[in-house]
Amino acid sequence: MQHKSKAQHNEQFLITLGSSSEFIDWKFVVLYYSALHFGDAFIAKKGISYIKNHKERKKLYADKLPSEVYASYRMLENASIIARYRPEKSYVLTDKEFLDLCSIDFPKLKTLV
Amino acid sequence: MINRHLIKSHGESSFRPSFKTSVGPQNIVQQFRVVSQSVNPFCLYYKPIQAHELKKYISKIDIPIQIVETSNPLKKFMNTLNMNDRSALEESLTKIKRIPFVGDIELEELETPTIIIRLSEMNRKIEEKIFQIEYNLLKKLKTDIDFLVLPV
Repeated sequence: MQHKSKAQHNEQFLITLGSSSEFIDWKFVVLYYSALHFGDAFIAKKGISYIKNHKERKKLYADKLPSEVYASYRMLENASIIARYRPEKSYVLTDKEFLDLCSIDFPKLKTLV
Repeated sequence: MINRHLIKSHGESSFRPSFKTSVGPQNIVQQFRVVSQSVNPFCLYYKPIQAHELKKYISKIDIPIQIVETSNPLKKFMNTLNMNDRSALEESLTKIKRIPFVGDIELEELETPTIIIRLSEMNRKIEEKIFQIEYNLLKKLKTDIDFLVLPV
């Protein structure tokens, strides 16, 4: 339940960033962390309430989630990695890419719980 | 007997001092890989060899051939994996290489060994395919590996 609250909290924060492209990099990051907590909430329902790190999370997600949900999670993560660590490639982080992740991939995680 | 400088036993760091040609071709393919220099016309990098190719090498035994380690970090990393992980990863990478727009595939040693897959055009359908391949790979793999999809 705490993971779900955290996911919703992040989602609320995303709304405050509005539709401007000024902080689009952060919008990708917040979207990813919201999706991550929805994913963790689903895993918690399976009896694992604490996930140590991304390595463990990835293994658990691959084990517990359907492949299309896992792929969506990884696409969100991939975009957030580019946003945080690969500024030279950040030109791929477009409004359209953000909308696709928001409307296609994010709901797959959100509807798990 | 074959010159020890020609043959490196598969998946091991030590060299076999000798090798009898009476061993069947299948065994040759499974157990040995030829390692040589790129400047040498008889070069094959970590490629399994057939019996007839091996005979060709034997006949050219007086040609100086040096053993070189691959400088490709991905190949180096693959050489550290156990057979199951290695073949699972090879199979996945072969599938990925067949996907349109996939360019270079390289390894970066980040927190986890990360396989960087470069796309000439970022496309969500392709990304999705790659991560579904990763999904299936993780179910087989004991080693931690990450995929990261980046534009060229």
